Amino acid sequence: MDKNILEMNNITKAFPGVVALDNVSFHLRKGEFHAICGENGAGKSTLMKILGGVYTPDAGEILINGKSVQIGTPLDSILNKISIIYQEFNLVPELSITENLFLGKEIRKGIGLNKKQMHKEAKKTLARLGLKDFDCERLVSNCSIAIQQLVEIGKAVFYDADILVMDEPTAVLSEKETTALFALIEQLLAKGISIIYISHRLEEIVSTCHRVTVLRDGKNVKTLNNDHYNINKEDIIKLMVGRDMMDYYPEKIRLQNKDVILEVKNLSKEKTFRHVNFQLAKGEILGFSGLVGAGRSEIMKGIFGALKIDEGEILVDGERVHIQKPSDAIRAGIALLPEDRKREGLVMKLNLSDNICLATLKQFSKMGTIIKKKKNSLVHKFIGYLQIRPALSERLMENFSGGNQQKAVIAKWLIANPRIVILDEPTRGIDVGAKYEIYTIINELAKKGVGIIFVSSELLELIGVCDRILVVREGKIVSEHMKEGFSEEEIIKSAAYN
Amino acid sequence: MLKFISPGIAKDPNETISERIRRIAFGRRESGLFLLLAGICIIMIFLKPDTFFTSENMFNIFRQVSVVAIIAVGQTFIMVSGGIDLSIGYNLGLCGIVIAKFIEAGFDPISSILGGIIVGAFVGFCNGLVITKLRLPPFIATLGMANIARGIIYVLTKGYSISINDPFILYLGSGNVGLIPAMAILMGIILMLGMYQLDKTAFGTRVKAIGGNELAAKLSGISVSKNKIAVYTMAGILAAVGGIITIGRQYSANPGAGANFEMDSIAATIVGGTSLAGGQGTVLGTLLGSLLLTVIKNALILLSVNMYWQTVAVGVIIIIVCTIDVFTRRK
Repeated sequence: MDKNILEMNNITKAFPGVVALDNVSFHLRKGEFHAICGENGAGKSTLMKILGGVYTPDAGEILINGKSVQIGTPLDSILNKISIIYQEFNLVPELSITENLFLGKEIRKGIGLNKKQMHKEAKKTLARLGLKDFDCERLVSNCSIAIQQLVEIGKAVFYDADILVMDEPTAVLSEKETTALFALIEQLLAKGISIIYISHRLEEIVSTCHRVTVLRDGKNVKTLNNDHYNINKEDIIKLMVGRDMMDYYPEKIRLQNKDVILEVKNLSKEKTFRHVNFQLAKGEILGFSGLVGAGRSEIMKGIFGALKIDEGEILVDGERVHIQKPSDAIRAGIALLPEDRKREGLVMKLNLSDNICLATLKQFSKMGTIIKKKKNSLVHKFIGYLQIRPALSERLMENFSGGNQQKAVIAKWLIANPRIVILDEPTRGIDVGAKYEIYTIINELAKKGVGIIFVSSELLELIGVCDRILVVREGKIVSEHMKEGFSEEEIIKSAAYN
Repeated sequence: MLKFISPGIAKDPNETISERIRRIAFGRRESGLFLLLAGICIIMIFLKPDTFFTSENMFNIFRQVSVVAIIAVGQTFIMVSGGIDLSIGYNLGLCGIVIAKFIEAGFDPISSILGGIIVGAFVGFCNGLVITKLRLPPFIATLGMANIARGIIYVLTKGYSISINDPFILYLGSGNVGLIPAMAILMGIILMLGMYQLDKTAFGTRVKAIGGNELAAKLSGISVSKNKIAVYTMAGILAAVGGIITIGRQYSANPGAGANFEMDSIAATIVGGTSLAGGQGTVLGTLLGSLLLTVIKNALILLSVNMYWQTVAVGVIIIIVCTIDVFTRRK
């Protein structure tokens, strides 16, 4: 266990305007489960992309089993038995599980393929991963995210990888699926595979990882030993942010006002959600809890006009509004921060400034022409207020880190001056510091009387932030919990069982 | 030395003057194209000192580039929105025929031109409608429309050209304002409007957003169909303008006039740096792309290269420029 299988020594990588990695070293032992922690932009992903051959380092060396290697392309990485599972999977959705597993190394029979044997092997692999008798002919696009992840891991096993890197694997998984994943990780470790694990979920890290390396601003901070699972979350947070974080969740001043700002009556959509009824008061933070796939995001999209509803009424300030499309909802004062910020929230090839203004272009233009001065002053006001870093309004969106991208989506909606804000998983995949900032922003909005709907899969977060929590199960609201009586156990129970 | 990096390199407030010069000179694809263009011109001045850099030849180049550049502006907007228009060429031909028919029937030139523009706009509008409401991919929708337009051209003309002798239309296609060809001025105005529209208006930003991420644009309250229909309609109007100039230049409305213009406009747009995937592109780049392709054709004519080989050369240029682009972007 003491032999280093991988050594990355003094790695430096600079991008125009930022030094992403400054003399960073990282060592991985054989059979070790090693976590890398750090805030967004700390350099975790860059380090892994260097290992994966996506970027080439400006300086530094990589040793595998003590031998110096050059990793210039993703293929070099695979040949060195490194397998990386990125947050965005590398699967071809239109191909079956078997075809994905065998992509590039199909078993041949004459000029054709030996489908039978490939099928058998695929089934065996999945069985080894704990998925017995699964139909391997299913298209990947028809599989759940958890299964897709298993297929990715299956690919790594198939490549006979010695080093497996997992980037935020549990961000999209339900609790049950997460437990299954950790059981699988244990199996892989027992086989001598070394695993590098990147996650923002510190609870998981302290209870499972052998060592934790913390990065901050592209530099090594410390590597902690966790042999006896003795380190705690707060230690890591302190190292990540470089200061004590007094409280996880900012104090909220509650409004006494109970005026209903939004009322949803009998909202239904076939096969998705049924008879959804709830009220939201001014300045209230209303949480929506439930398992992945329970229909929470769909309900929000239904309210926002992004998903056609079959029946139901939406009342804003007691008046019925007809929402057919998102622009109707925006006019009614509703904003939606979608679940998947990359796919639904941002235009990566546009710059920060244009992204921020996307929902409110009319506000900035006179007879269709954008008034640059007005736009710039408002954009900079929000960049400053939300502390979007770096504060370069002309920088392309794709070059910002996850937390800053999320802040850009928030800025886009704050400019619209909404009265009801729906946040769908606003803190997914972003670091502790940025999370705290987002909670603070939510609180400030609530203080101003904005009604807030907060959808999250992290129950602790909902308990920390919300005034009231509704639980959704199979498209229906099944229970309501008030702040005074929040109980983790009860909420989980009503989310999971019939 | 040449660097083709698409626009959008962030401004760093602390940059030094030399960095600033470098960013402006090499940071944008337009500057690379401009240098390439200038290089070819300089070589030609040495090779053909008495024929290339003459006012006559320069006007020739402007005449040749005008029509392509005008319709390529429409193509640029469409490609930035994530689509493509294969019907632009035959739409151009159809509008020319319609105008000629109107004039033949005794209408005054202004109403005839208006008639042509309405037809062009209608064709573009139908493209937009089929793409947004029937949800056909732009490639298929406009391929169908190209055949429809081509068919109507032959139904209207039975294959014969219609000669044009209306002085106003001839003036637009062949006349000069002072020393400058009238059509070059028209091209200048359209390019300026196009640049302004793509970079300075809410419409331009919406088109880029739709091409960059249609779902995000929709969830930001942008009406995707309305804007797409507008883009295709606009391209249709520009095709009609190209049609007017073409018949004025050829002194006749020729049933085959529009052929290949769709490919020329796509080539100019792509060489100019517009992404086939949508979301990125500039009108200035498209102008430089059109100029580059035209100047190369012109240079090959002056160097007495066989006409068929000229076409081969243009194809090679498209592939080379786009290859350089792909390689520099990968870094």
